[in-house]
Amino acid sequence: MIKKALKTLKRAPVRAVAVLLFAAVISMIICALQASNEAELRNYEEVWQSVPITVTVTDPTGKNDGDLLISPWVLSLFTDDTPVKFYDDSAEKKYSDPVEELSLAAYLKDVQSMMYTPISTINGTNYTSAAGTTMLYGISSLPCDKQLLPENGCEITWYEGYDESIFAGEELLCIVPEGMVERYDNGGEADLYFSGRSNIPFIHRDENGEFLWVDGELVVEFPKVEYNCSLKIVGTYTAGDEKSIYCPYPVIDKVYDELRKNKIIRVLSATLSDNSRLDEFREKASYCFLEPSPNAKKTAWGVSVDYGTLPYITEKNYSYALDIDDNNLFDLSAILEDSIKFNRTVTVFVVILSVISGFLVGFLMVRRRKRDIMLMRMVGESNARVYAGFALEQMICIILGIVIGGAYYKWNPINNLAIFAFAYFIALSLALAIFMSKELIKNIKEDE
Amino acid sequence: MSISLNNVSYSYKGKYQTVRAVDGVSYDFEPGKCYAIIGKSGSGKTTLLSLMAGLDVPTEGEVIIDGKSTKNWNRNRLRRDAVSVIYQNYNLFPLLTVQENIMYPLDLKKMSKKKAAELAIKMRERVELSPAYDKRLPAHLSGGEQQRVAIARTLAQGCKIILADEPTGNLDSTNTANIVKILCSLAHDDGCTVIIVTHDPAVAEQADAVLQMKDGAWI
Repeated sequence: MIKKALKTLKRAPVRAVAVLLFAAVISMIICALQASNEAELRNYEEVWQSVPITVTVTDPTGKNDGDLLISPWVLSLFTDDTPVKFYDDSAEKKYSDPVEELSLAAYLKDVQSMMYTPISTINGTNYTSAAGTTMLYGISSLPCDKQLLPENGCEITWYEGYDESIFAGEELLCIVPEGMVERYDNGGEADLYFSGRSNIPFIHRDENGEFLWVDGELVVEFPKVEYNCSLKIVGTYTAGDEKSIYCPYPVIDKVYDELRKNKIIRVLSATLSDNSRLDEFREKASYCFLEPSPNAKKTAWGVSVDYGTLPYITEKNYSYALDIDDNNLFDLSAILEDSIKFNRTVTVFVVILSVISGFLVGFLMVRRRKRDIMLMRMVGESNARVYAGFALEQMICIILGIVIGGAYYKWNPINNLAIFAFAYFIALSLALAIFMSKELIKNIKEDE
Repeated sequence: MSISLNNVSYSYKGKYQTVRAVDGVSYDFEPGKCYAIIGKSGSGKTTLLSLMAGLDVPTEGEVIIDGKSTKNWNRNRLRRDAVSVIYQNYNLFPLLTVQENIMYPLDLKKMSKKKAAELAIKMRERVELSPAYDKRLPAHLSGGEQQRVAIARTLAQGCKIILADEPTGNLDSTNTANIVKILCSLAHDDGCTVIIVTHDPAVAEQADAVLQMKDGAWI
């Protein structure tokens, strides 16, 4: 039966080639659309994974200008795999068993934080800038303090071999205001010796690490502890108030340890490590963070024991909000989703069109052969065999067309259709030349 | 193989009215004879031939072939084994060569290719066509040659009832005479029942019996 079908196709090559080309073109279009759809989806997934979603701890109104007082447990929440314990501080349950244990570290990467402490002396002498007390800032990256960003007029001059990556490390390095270098002119690469003092309340804990209570009151001490720190200058910056020295965050962390001072973080932000877990992260974060709202009131934090015992926070009467900056992602996603939607609509349209045109071509092909069908039935061919014969002929053309169309698409981009058109015109010219070179009388006889 | 018409009528719904194309026709056709059915255009000759060929069944009465009504025959089998039809426009498969056209019904009978080819050559010789025609397509043959191929195919089919609908309608007088001679020899030499529908008196003259139709009935 296949032999018979091939013979018939060979004897009516124009018809066979027409069906074949039709199938090839349709399959090329469908291939192109499918590839475009897949590329869009890949693009969408890539965007979902690659566009960074930053989360920043803010006050309830969504602001953080570096003056926020962020409790250490928030940093632990961001960086420690050990969950932070939350307590109910209602009168009857105060400091009883934790009501929730939570860690967000698994969802976050590139945690950026900033902390500072006042400086009393530099290189052994009291140092006070015109703007007031000089501060030693520990930052994880430049954006931790907006003052250091070029868009705010700041220009950083790095000494040879150094750049902003120093803030990702923990070496004893720093950058200082340009004016300060002039004042401590010692070749530009000198160490600065800082010292500072703390009279910040220190809350005593017992051997189990629990808060120490005596006669119903917390044991709080106000020690005056001094620290000493030697940092190498590796760059200078302009602009700003000229009273800040910036070092890597771990350096200031150690200074705080030396001072036995409760750490108050000023800036805390991070990047989501897996964007696909955004909803999960948002749900977990909602337990201890508000959603930023411009009209929000600053309310007292009432869940964490640590919080309640930190006087700075109590005075300021803060609670925290978490600004999850997914606008870029959702803007880009919306554009891509629109594009995917459009592609899908076009695909559906093309598929419907191909179904209709396939039906019409099939119908027309059979219509042109209705005489053959009649003859076959007339000599006693069964309907099933008539159907099978015709279906086989058409399927050979269609499958071959699909294979050729698919192969053409794979090996030649769709924009190479110009080659296709060129070949068509060559063939057309050749055919015309052959037929027109024949004697007219021969043409007429052939037509008869 | 005999064929009988038993009060055969056939009506169909036209655009404006029901048309009674064949109206109560009865006749017993004998094997070994050549019959001519003549009549004006629209007299019902071709419809009657179609009913005898089993292309449709009568609305009233019966066409009985080999003692069995066409209503009870398997239509494909009837057309394959009992009745074959020759048409004015030859009805050859345009994409098959002369030899393949003749062999087509043999393929349906599951005859081996070799045997079928041998038989096709015999039948082609019977209608006086040379071997040069074997590989030609119908489009490259004259009308008379095409009709001969159609007859050869009918011969190969081996049916004992041969119906011909205006078989010489498109042919010149020489070809007409040759075709009618072949058809009559099928009746007389092969014992077939040959029924020719024609409006050509020269064809009717060659038949053993002439039946005339008017308004769907014999006159």
